[in-house]
Amino acid sequence: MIGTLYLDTARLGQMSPTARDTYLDFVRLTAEEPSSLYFEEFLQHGWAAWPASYRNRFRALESWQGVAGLKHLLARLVGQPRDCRVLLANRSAQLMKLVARLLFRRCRNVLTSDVNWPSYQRFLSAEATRTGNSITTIPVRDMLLRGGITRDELVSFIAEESFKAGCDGLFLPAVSNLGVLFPTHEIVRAIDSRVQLRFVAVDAAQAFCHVPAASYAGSDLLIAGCHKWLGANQTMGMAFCPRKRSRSFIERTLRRMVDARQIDDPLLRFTEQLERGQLDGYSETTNIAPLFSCCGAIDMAPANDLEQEQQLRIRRLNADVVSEAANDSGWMPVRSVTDFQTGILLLKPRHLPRRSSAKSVRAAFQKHGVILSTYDDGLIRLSMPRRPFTDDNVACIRESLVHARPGYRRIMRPLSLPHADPDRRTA
Amino acid sequence: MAKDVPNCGNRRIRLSYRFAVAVGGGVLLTAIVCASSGPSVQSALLGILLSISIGLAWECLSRQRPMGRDLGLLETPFFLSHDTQVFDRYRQISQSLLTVSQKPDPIYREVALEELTRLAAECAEVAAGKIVYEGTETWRIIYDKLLRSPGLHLYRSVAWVKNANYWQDEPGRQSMKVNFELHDNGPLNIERIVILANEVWPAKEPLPVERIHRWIREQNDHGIWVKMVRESELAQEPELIADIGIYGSRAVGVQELDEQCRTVRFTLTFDFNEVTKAEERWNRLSVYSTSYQELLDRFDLDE
Repeated sequence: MIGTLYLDTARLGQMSPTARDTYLDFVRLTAEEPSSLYFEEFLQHGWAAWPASYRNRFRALESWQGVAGLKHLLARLVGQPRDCRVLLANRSAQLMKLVARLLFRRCRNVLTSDVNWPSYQRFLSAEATRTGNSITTIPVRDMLLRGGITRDELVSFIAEESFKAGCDGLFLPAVSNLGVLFPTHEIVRAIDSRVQLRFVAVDAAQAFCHVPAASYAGSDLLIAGCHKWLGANQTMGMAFCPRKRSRSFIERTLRRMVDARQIDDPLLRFTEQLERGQLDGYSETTNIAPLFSCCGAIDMAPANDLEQEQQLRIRRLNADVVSEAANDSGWMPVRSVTDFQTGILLLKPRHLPRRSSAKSVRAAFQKHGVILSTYDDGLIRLSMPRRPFTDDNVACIRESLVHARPGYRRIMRPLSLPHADPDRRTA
Repeated sequence: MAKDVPNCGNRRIRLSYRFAVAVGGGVLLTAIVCASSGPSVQSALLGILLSISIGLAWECLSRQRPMGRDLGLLETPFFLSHDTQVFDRYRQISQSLLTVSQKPDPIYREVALEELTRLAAECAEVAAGKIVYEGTETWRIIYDKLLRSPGLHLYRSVAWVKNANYWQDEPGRQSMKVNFELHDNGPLNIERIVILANEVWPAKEPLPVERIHRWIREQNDHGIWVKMVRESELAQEPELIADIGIYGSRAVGVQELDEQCRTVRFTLTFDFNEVTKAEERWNRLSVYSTSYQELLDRFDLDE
């Protein structure tokens, strides 16, 4: 929608211009030569393997360097060297199955929190039950959203709870879906100093290309997606194996699960075969388009943690601007202390009428040019862009906050002044 | 023999005056209620009395059930007859004892009695939950059965590696296959602490000799949590140096090996107290040992 301010990145990110161009050229290629010998060469070895005529025809595909090349670029985005093992899959749920298996093959009690993504938590619960192991879930959500807890206090609290429960594994989000930054790296270090963690997995779905990779380093396995903050839009799950000590364990477990069809993901199977140069010719026909939009999106991603930090600072400043606008418009920011703040901002209405549906609030915002996530308890989530808001953007947000506030119409109806400033009238 | 065990079998039960008083009281109460109240109150009273009677009878029966160790010799076969498998063995042993008893040769009798004494001691060990396998690898059959038994979720093993031959022969490899199969797919979690002789893990080396390192690495690759300790580091607590397996909270196995790492004796004990003691040893041993993962991290080694 032209002129719309898209602030729903936490759900599905807006496609970046470079991702769009690469993707469009890939679509053109598939329209012209969906399965030629050149196509296979290109897939495996990249744009450079093509003859000049092809290179000239599909210039936007220049960034494609084969599956191995894409994996190297992705590894760099999480601060890992070229030899870091990277897995690509159509569905991140398939990778989550792997995470659950790895955790409960090595650990007997895995620490999680109440801000973990519920569907991921269900995978863990199922595997824990199957293997006769346990999960310890610590309550931190209210503590973080209410504020008043510092980074050090949170780290000590989690380390202490982990020690008391006898946890030997960890699965936490690097950034929760409500936008709270989890200092997973420090948490791992604090726990490890008392009891050695056998396996650490981190859900970086909301953190990848949003916060510096150093904040979620130190895990054995990291899962993320390219369709949110990276701006590839096309859904694709990724897993990274940063620690050398676990690579062989992960590799073997993955192979066993794929062979036993416990993990059945066509893109994962295909990319693994392609990278090894051993296409079996019998695998399922796979949608490989996400590889190209991802590859294109990397061009606009922050090249290192320094750039990432700068982007995050801008996103936080944007969140400050929106918070200020919200305060004047009948909304209240729900923000944790600065240590935990990210580019996701939560707002809740000062007065929530009894009847207020998430869908109607979302529609009201969209009508005023802002796309964001809404919840039934009146909470709204805005994902801040990487560039500073313009004055027009702020005006648009302010107006939408005033007019899309739940109960706004009902307050106005008795006064018969539908276009007046609601705050002034109610005052 | 005869202890004061109440038995309803062949003996007549002498009833006390309490029984007469209780029955008399109950009859009188019922008669009064029947005469003075409606049918619903009568039914309620009848129900209450019946419930009390069933409850008391049940309690009485459960108290009267004899325990094996309190049985008299003559009552033993009656009790064992509930368990046909054990009763079969009882009959075979009794038959053999009868045969032995009928042979008059004094020399034979002397030897037979010695042998029977030994067998009685073995029986007592078995009864105490202890099974001993000597000079054979057949214990691995029961080891396999134990690991596969439903409800077993945790197997903790202490491997005392005296030399590089440890579990490298065919029976050892087969047992490792069972470990891997169950740990990979099943609900079994395996953890192992490896005590390594100094010749297998020289003091200045980051990792053990190649053959044993490969054995450890393979376990680690399957997700088995492996910790390691040099034998010399346990000099202060030599009682911790042993080759044991803790099968959930069900049993403990102790393997004794010769210098060539062949099984001399394997003792399996199904006793909760022994399991608790073994767990305590395991915890103490854990304090001295370092995980293989930590070593990989420390020396920045690939798996």
